[in-house]
Amino acid sequence: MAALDTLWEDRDVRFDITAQQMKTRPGEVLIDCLDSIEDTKGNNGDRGRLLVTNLRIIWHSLALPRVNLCEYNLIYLNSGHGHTEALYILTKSNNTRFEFIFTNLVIGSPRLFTSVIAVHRAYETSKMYRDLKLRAALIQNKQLRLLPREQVYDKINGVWNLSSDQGNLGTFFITNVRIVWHANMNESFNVSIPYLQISGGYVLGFKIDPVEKLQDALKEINSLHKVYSANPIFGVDYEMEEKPQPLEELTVEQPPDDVEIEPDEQTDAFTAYFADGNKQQDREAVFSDELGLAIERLKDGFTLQGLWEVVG
Amino acid sequence: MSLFKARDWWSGALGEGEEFDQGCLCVGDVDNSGTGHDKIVVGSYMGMLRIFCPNANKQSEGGSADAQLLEVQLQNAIIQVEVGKFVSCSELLHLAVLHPRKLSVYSVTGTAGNVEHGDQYQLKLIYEHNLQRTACNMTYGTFGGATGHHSLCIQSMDGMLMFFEQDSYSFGRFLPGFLLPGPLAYNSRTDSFLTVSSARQLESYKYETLAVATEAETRQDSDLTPKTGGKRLTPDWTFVLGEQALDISVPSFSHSSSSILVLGERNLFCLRDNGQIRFMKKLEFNPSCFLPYASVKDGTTNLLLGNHNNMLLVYQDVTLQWAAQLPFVPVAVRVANFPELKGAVVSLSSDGHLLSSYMGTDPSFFSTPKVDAREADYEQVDAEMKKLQKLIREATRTQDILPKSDALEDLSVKAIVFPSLDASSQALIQDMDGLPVPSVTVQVKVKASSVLQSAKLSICVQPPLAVTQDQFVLEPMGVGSTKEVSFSAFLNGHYPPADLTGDIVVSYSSPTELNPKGVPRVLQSRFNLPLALVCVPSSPAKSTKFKITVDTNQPPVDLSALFREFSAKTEDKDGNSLAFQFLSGAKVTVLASKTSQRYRIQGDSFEDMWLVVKELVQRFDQHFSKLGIKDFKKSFSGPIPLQEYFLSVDNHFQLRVNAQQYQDLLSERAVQFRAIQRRLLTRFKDKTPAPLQSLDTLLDATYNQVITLAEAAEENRALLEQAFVRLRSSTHLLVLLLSLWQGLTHDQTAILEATLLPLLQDTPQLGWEESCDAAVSHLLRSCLSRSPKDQATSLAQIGGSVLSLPQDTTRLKKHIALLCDRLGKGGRLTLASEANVQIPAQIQNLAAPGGVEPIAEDLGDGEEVENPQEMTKFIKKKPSRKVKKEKDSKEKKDVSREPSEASVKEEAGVPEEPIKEVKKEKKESSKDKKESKKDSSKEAKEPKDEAKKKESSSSKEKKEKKEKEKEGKESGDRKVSRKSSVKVKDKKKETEAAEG
Repeated sequence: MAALDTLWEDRDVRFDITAQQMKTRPGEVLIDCLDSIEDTKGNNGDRGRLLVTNLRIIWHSLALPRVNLCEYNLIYLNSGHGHTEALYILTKSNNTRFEFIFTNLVIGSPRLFTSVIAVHRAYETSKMYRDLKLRAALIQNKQLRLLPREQVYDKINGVWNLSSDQGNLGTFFITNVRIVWHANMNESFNVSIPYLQISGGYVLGFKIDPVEKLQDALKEINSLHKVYSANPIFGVDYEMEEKPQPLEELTVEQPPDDVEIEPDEQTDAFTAYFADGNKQQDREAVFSDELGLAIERLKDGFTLQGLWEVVG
Repeated sequence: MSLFKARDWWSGALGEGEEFDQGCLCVGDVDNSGTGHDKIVVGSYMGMLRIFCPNANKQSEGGSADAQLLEVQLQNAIIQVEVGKFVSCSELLHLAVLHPRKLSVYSVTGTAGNVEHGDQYQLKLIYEHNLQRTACNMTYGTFGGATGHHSLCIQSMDGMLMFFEQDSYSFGRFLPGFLLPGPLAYNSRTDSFLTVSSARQLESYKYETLAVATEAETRQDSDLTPKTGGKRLTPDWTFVLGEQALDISVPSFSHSSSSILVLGERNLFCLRDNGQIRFMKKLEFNPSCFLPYASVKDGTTNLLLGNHNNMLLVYQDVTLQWAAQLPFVPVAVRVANFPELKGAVVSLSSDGHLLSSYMGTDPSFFSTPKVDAREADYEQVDAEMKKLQKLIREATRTQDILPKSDALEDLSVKAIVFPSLDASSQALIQDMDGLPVPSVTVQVKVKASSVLQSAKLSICVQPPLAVTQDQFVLEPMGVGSTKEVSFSAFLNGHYPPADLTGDIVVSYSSPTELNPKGVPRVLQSRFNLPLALVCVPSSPAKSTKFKITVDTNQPPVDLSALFREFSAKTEDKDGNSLAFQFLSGAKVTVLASKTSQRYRIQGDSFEDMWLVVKELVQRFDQHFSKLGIKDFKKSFSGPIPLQEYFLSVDNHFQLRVNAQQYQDLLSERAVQFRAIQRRLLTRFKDKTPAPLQSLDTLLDATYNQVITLAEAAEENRALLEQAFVRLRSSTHLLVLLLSLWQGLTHDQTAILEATLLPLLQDTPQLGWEESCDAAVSHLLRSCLSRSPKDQATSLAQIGGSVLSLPQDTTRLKKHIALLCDRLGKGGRLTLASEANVQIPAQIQNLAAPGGVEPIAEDLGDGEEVENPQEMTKFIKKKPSRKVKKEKDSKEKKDVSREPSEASVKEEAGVPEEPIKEVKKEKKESSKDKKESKKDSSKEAKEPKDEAKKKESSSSKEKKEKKEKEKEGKESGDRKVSRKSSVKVKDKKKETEAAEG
């Protein structure tokens, strides 16, 4: 089951990554490459290049081999904001909120960040390929609602879901992208598990009688998972009218190092990108009687009114 | 900018390209879990129904999937979702889902599993209503005071309120005067329904009234006569908002804060239950949604307001209490209590971002720096600078950016007027008094000797002449290519034109290597239309009013040979007389003396003779130059027929005065009209109208007056146009006679012409009289003045008031007469510059704007005393070139009407000064006219001050000045005295002229 590296590309924000990490993983494709882009927030003044893949956005400086990386999960995009044509990305990783601002240095360039926005939209609307889904509208008239490029390889009836005491009898759909189970009595009770998610962490229990049938199913799932791992389908399909050069050609050439230096400690490059000043995490939410709404717990010595009056 | 941000506590992106709006979000304990915690219910226009129970802690474990309790694809679009007690005999909450043609009520039940993902939820349909009409929105409540359960009311797109009591349909009512559906809300305190109609007013309908109103199943029924057994539906009360509303909410937190809240497109309204306004808040942004959520302080209402600037604002009544930035524009907002968080704000965007947030309390100060404010790359800028400078150097060396001054003309324009008139006339007016109006074809050949772009050719002829087409757009032309256009010219008015010449203007751009767009250039050419276009041969008239005699030094010429095209019909075969009849009716006869070398032109009107005289003089010149006679001379013995000339001046002036009067009368009547309208309006607006007291009659009468006046003014305008053309004809004739009389050179004639005909068109603001007077006065003061002193001071007399319509023409006539007189006495219109004239520095200083009162009256006085020979001498010694230049620039301004060769030559070496001079000159000469009563005290004071300064320079002048001022003050007296003096002078002049 370890054939597939843990997918981090689309869910982590990483800084100063190695050349190895910059390479596309199987199934990841470069969609667009934008030159003359400045990382306004972290590297103001540096000219860089923004690479857009179906999983992530990579920015790297042209002068220094410093690299930023940003994921697609949970981001809000805003472009054409304020006085400059800029791409604002607000994202959250491990409860830390990051903000990225990329500016096109060529003023009035017609090619802004349309591809980023379009790819993000494609990413956002294809989560079924990558995310575990519970109780979703997966089944219609006892049939699986297929995703684009999805094919059903097998349908196994009589699969018990072990999530409740008495168990629920249901049906397995095994496809090239995921495994879907649904309760025969309640179509709304179901689960969709993409192969991408089969790596531990979240344990679901299913039972098939007799054991031979269970073994067959396991074998089938295992082989399909291998096939998928070799050539994953992320579901982010975006056609560029003009194809950019492959990522390898654009990657800044780095002299091959004899020694790979393992960083002892995390670099602090990320601090520049905190969405809110120097704060790594939000304080917890509490109910405010004054406002009648939930607020972020105030720092000691501050009052809501005081804060507002200073601002106002 | 927003300092605070909304912190996301839980969020999700719903659907794949689904759409959401106002009614698509609601919160409530929809599965009746009994904990009192809210679930979020979201429906989409694509028919997806989703229920969430947000759980912040689980999110990090990748278990965001847990939050989704249910997702069901329904058959139809979901317009609105509501949670309430919709099932009879059940205290449980149910989910009402509104589709365009269906209302469904579901129960949501959950069964817990061992682990989170083992929880299962089921959606069960309890009942549904198929709707006859397309639904817009719905509201629910305890209609009619029912307790324990909620009824539903659906508003259809065509204005019907449909009432449902659980699984049964109660009744339907059409809203009166309905156009488009507005938001709908139920007020349980008064048991009434609130909506904002297309009349932009908030309307309240009692449930009771709705129940007993006419049962209307079709719209027509409700609009027409009410059926028996029901009342016509009228609102309980209305309140004018003056704008459309986004939403209505009737919160009921406590008795003391019972109010109705309406979110308009620009304002927030708060009203009492009886329709009285409590407050209104003007919003400085476009709101998108709102929600009154609590009454934190007794008597006030707290509300959340989302706007299109991604802001979420918290108001306590009208006071802004907090603001937070959202990552999107919310279309719906709710406040919900979750197991781990109380008072969370749930907001939904139109593209399916669902956010459950709390208010951040850390301000953020970061703002993006501007791109262009950054440090420049000096090396790069330097390189660019060098490159540009190199380009400029090259360009200035090759002179390629600017057109080559000595290059050959890019273009030649040749106009050919066809010798014979058109076979079939193109004229718009086909005949005048029985005479057919002919037309003549003109062909213009344009030949390019270089590449031309965007060439345009325009034709301009003198009114009332007209052409069939006056604008031609030429295709881009290559080297050596030719283009031909042709048009017909004809008379288009019942009077002869002042000039038979027409102008051709070609504007084009010639591209150069460094300037591919091309340098704009203009080329002019002219053509002469035949006299036959405006007149026909006729029989000679014996007795006429006006006669002009031209002498020559050559034996008489056969007139019929000279005017071949007119001789055909004449009865007189010996060629002694020839008569022309203008299409407009006037006749002009030319008689050649059999014995002497004289020719007489006679006609009934002075101005009509011009064209004939001009033609005659031209043909003489041609005739004799063909014969090879070089010393052909023609002269006019005088006297100059000034009185005849002044007739046309007076006629023109009178019409201008009339136009002014019509203008004044019109504005007066218009004021009156508006005053009556105002009075009528106040009468009509009054709740208890007073009698009109014949104001309507007065209004009608004034209206008729205005119309009549306008018509008269328009008629006058046409007459004025005609009079101006006639004035120009007679002025041309006068100039011709003056030049024949004094044998003026071509240059001098040009000066004279420019002086007497300074304008191509006259307008109410600037007319011929004042501009001509200004020019004539300048001539009199400069090159025709009596003494060097005058000439010097006149140069200082610069600035002053603007030119305006004079009170009468006496002064102008006097000046023209004086001009003729001085010319007669040998005054020379010369080109030489008065740069020779030393202007005292002191006087030069006076040449500031505001200027000195000009000498004008004195010009006539003491005139006779002066020795004309002396004067001539002086003028010869210190000739004025400035005049010439001035004229040149003036001509340039006048659309280069007559680009005399001399002026063109002159133009080349003239520095900036003359142009300034012209402006100053204009101002100065206008002073002459400006001695009316209108003179403000300030204006009067200024010249006085100037005069004081001038005292030292000339005592005589001082005296004059005083006279001047006196006159300005008592202009009434002056008018009379001046008139008499003019008469005397005129007489004197006549005698002088006769002697000379």
